[in-house]
Amino acid sequence: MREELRIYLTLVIASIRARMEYKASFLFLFFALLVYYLAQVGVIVIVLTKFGSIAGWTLGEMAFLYGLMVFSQGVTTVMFGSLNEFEGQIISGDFDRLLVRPLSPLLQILSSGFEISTVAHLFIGTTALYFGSKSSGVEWTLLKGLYLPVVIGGAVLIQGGLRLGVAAVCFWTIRNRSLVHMLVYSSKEMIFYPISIYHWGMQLLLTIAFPLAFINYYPSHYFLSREGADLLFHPFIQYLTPMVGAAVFALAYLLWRLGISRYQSAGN
Amino acid sequence: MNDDVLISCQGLRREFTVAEGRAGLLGSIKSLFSNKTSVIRAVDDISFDIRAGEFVGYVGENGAGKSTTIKMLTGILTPTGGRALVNGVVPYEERVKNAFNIGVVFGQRSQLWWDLPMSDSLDLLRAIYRVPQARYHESLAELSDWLELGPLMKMPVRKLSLGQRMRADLAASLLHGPKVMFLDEPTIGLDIIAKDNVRRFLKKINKERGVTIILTTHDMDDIEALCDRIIIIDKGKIAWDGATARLKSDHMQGKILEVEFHDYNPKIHEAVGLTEMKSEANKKWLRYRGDGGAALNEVISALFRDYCVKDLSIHEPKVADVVKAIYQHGAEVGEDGGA
Amino acid sequence: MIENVGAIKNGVMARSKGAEEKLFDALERFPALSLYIKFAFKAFQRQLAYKFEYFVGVVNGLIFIFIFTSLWKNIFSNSQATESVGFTTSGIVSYAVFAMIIRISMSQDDLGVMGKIRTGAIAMDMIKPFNFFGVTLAENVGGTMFHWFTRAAPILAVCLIFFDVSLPRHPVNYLLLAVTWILGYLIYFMVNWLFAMLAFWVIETFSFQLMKYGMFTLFSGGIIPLDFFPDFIRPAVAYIPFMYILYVPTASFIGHISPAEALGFIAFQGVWVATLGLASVVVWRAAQKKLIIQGG
Repeated sequence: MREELRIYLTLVIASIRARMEYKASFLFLFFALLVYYLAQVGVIVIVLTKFGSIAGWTLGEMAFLYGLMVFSQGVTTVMFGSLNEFEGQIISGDFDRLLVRPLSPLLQILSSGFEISTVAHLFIGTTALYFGSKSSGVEWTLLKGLYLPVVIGGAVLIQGGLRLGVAAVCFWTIRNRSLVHMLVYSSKEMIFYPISIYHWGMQLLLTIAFPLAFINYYPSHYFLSREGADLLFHPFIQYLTPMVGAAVFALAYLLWRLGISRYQSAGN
Repeated sequence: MNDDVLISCQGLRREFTVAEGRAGLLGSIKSLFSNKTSVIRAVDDISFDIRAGEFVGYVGENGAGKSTTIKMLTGILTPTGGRALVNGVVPYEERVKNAFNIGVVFGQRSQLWWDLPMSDSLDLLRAIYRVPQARYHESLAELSDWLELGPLMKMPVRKLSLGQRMRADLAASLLHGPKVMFLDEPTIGLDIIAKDNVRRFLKKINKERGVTIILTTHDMDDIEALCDRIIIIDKGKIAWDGATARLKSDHMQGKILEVEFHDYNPKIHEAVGLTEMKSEANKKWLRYRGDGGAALNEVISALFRDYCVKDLSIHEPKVADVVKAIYQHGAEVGEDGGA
Repeated sequence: MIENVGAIKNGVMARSKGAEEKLFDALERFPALSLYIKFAFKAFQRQLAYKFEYFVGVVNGLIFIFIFTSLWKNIFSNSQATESVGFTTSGIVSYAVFAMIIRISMSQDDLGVMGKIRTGAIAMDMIKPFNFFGVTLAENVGGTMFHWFTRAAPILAVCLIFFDVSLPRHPVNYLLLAVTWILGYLIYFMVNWLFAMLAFWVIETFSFQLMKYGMFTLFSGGIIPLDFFPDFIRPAVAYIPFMYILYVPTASFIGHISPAEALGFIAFQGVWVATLGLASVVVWRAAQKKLIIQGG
């Protein structure tokens, strides 16, 4: 295992260096990403400017909610971003090339996709978190400070697990473009807003079936010291993110292994 | 089993279920709701043993089952029946262990990292295949020398020409010193000189380093130049398996006559002593065996006498022609003492 | 991939002349038109190959509609500021639903144009004796119509049943919708086209695409109607083409703006179509020149 990790790191560094080859577009892409995310933020800001608050969440609190989401997304993209294009690897037969090597194909895929967009995510996420916590007067204790990275880790596992699961679907359906679009991109949109605005059925879905609400909504209650009035569940749910993350990822990995063995036994 | 059998297939079988697509716009809409499936036997009871140091050409038309067999031997695919062993390892059961023992080169897809300088790619592979530093440098030096990779080391792979990239891929596949090498269409798209370089290299590592090579290709010149043994696979079954020399001696004696007739294409009378290999519009390609029976000039005279021949040329038989004939007429042509 | 060529080859059915072929035979008399129709058909057919995608495409659209109708319902039941924007709760919910449906009905898959430029395959298209712009538009229309049936229509049906919206009754709304939709579609197509043309001059077009997508999200009216923008921004928004793509058709259709106002907007749409059309021609000529001189 140690050997594999060492190789993984070597591959990641190689991948970063490969991306660095395109230096000029590095900066421009970063700028373009900022514009893109600002537009996203713009929607929320305009709404809040006009209407004051959303479901009782002020601008500062919304910023924190958003920041937690975007920052963890950045970390997720660093580690799992290359899975988005997995469909292409299956179709072109490129996956075979990975199977021929004496290394876990997952590790090979994960180490190959360093994206500049992650830097933008981290930047915007940090800014939003900072602004959000300042503006809503968060009292940072040692405990909160230590728990934040743990929560982010859990959020990353949830999102990473989701991406892994969606990629694994390719082993059965070959194409998963739409699913990727839906579960990796569109679904994020749902948790930009406090899920209390949704019908309780959807809240249930986002908690139990696709536990996206654990990425930012539930943990935000803890950091923002919000009363649990708008929670459907017992307030203890604000602490569960890391556990949910581990569970989701474990399930996703299982699906992945099943997928590989199907690939080998059913052909492609 | 003999000690020096490196690759062994017994009764290998591989079936696929395929959904049949339908043509046309209405067909596409229909196929949304229901889909007929059928089972295809891509590989149907294949058995062969390959010994250390052999250079085997694995030949077949598209869809004949070549790639499927290779996939099973490299651990990518599991067979539906039968068994395979490579270097004492079952490839599809112990994928990683098998991977350490084999080198693979796909003609269409490079094993190297697209944006990185070649030397970096090779170094990464060293890490992946866990090659000790000392052995790696030795290997690299030798391969680099044989393949003339020196000046190319610092270049990113995407900037290399196809021929250069193929040489790099060959080196990459051998860095960890595998005893077995699988090559899938390595000379495709290469110019004459590049092809020649690749062939010389392959011959060298086979003869001087004893690397066992399985080559799948459409290029018959590759086969003629390199392979001591040919396995022909047709519709999933082995149509012929034997030494290239025997293929030549059995089927390539004599001549091929290319005959063009005036406005028609007759059935050639048996008595003339020729077998038909191919037929096209007004032309026929006929095989003259030359093993006893009538002399060539007599046969040609008979042709001119009995039929309206417009033009005739005489060719040396090529491996390609024999293989083609085997595809078309099945394995009977390949049997000893066949028609 | 499966090498099934040899095996399936034997299973191909013999076909008698189907309806499709008879149609094309009839169209033979109008070569240009039939060519465009063929392209549209083929684009439609290509899409049919991706079965799983349909269902997910519908769900995707519904997710967005769900998000924003929930958001608006929540906000409009709580805040007093709602009067100032001229929407009732049901009005804004209508807006959200129809804006999304119209957006989906205008779906244009990333014109493979950019990919073709990057690989140089576009040279092949320029050699062929047809109008590349026209053909790309035709292909897009084919794809768009496909999205009507597989995404827009089902989503509309679901929304009418579950989301408490209803279609307008007056035929004027439908007439306005038709006109504003066609103009909006053309504007959208040409904006995408122009950005695609960038590929002739710039390697990393992805950045531009990101910015375009960001601006489109914010200003097209797909999510936020023009009325929500702060007063000082509103006039500026009129100077970029985006709001004419979704806001104008949606607002006209649901009656948020009067027919008279709508006509005013239609005039502006016309101006944009003309401007972008001119720009497209100019840029295309420049691109062709570049391609011929520099070889891509």
